[in-house]
Amino acid sequence: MEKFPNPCSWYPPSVAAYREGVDGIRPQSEDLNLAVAPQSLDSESGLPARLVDELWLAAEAASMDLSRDEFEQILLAVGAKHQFGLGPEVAHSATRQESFLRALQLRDLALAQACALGRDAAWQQFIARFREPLTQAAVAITRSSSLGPELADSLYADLFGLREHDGIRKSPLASYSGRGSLMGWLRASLAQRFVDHHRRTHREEPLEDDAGFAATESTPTPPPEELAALSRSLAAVLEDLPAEDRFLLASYFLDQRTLQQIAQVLRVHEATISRRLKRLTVHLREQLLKNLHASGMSRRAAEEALGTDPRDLSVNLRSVLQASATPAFSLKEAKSESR
Amino acid sequence: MSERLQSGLHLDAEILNAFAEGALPAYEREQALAHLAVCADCREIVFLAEQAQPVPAADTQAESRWQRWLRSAPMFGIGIGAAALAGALIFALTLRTHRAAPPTVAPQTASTHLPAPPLPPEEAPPKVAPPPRPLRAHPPAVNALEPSPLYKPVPQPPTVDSRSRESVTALNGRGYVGSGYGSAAAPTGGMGSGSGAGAAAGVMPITPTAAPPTGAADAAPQSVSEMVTVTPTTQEMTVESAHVASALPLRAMAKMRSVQPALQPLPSKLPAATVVSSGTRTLAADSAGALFLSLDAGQHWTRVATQWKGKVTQLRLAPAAATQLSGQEQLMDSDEARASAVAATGADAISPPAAAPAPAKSPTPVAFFQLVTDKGAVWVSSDGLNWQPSP
Repeated sequence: MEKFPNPCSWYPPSVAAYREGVDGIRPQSEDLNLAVAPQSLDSESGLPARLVDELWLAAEAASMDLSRDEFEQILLAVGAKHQFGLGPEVAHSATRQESFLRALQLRDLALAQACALGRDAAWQQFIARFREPLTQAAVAITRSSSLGPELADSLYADLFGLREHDGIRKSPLASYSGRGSLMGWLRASLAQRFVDHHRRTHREEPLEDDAGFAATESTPTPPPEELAALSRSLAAVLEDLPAEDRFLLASYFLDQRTLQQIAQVLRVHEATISRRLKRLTVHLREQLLKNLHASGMSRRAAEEALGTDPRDLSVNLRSVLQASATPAFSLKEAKSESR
Repeated sequence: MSERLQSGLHLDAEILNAFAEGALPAYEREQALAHLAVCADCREIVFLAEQAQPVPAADTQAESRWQRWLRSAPMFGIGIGAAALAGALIFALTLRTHRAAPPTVAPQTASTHLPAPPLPPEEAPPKVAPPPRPLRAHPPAVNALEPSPLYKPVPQPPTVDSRSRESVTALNGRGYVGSGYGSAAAPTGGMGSGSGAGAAAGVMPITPTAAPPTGAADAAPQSVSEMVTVTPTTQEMTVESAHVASALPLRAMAKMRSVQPALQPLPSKLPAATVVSSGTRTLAADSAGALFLSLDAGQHWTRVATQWKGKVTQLRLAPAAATQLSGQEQLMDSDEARASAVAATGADAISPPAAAPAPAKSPTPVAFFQLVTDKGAVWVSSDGLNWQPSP
């Protein structure tokens, strides 16, 4: 398996070594394509000085060598990027702006932006806070004690700005806007890299070789004309579903996630997911039967196409979705490949 | 889907993390869900990032919940501690009061006497906390407590009275409960409120810190009647005691205490409604109206045959009983004689003992005891066994 790029090993990390190693190519803040670039700000919009002072103190930005003016620019850039949490057509009141800014992870935001600006004090804090958690998260994502540190090193190299894009050093930390925790952002970045790496290295392999989908191969499929009608009806029914229901169906039937995993992501109880799945399958079956019947198929034929047992409907649904949707990334592939 | 949501073909880490942490606004969450529903890679990223989240240990989590709870409500914890302490104090006080209190003491008349409680003198009396009530007049008690005409009080210098008051006050301060549960504060309270012979009667709470005597004591021994209300946890006990000498010397009171052992339960197993004693001879009527006699100061009881109609509701010493003290006056010094005489006419049991010979001059038995039935009939007896209607 191809190793993760590891241009800079940071175990054990040393800020002094970092300074010695990167001083020669250390970018200036204006060279970084930061979300807080001053030119991206609306000069007319400003924040109340009292609010900026309060948030600046709350973020402990001074300990990261981040001045008050810099932090104000960061806040303005984040607010402009996310429209202060409102839709594009909604006017931004001062109260709404303040509540949006107060809801940010201010300390993490200041740390990430100060690191993106190359502040030594910020990097010391970053290493102290996230060195071990980042490695542990990488090991948990890869489920490998050897791949995990490599993945963490690869991300750290990018965060450190050792890579240049179009001649400009960019730190991904600049894209962090503080809406979630910085540790969560790092986990998502690790998972993104892991999936990207897997996709890049397994692009040519057919999915049929994967053991995770072997069960679907043995599932009897209806005749082609019935399958086509079923696919059309299914697409029509799925389009009418809310986005969360579609995510639920895809996670459960395509990705074969457990109820607990889905519940954690959607932040609801596991029983709620179970009830919603049951209700969804019943609704889907009724709608599919209705659509198939409306398309000229007899009710008996429609029921035979779906299967009288709801569990058969789920199998058929998975088969149809499997054929029509993007194949889901499977962790089993990565594990089997890593062996 | 807006361009902002897409980084190329997929959601960026910022949005994925904000979605996983529930930090996205509603409209942006819908867009993210719509993309996640069709993008297996982004779903995979979300689930991978979620599974990489460290799970805290259950014990630590439970502990932190308690800590958070206590931190969030520090005054609540203090309140719980204070409530527990108050509950323990109340329980201890209740237990103590319950042990000290007789089974049931019904309201008694002014001439009803209670024997001394089993509490040692050095033990603090139970604290009862009703607010002090003003003294109220009790005319029948005052009438019954008039000094015997046969007793000629000798005028005493004021110093004697002052010494007596100090003694009684000191005794009461150590927790002496007197001759009955209701008389703990009687010496001080009675003296404090008394202004003359039989002039003061009232109701006051039992408290060891009763008000010190303020009124000047008269030279003659004075008797007062007091209504003392004891309030235990379950029932209110009203004891109307007792004639208390305003100048009762310490030595005499100590002797009175020594001859007042604790009452044993009545054979009927019912609580004593009224008790009266003369020496070691004690009469008690239970709550059912039956009469019992004890010749050993309440240690053993014998039921007295009913010679009257109805139930016994009240027992008292007949006024003539005090006349029997005349033969004893020469046997005592002045203080003791005065204390005994006062006690015999009132509160406590230092009256002519049962073994004392009756006056030879008396052709008929002297009526020591009186009982009143529920029909209002008054019967008299000299020994507590043989009763005859009062003439």
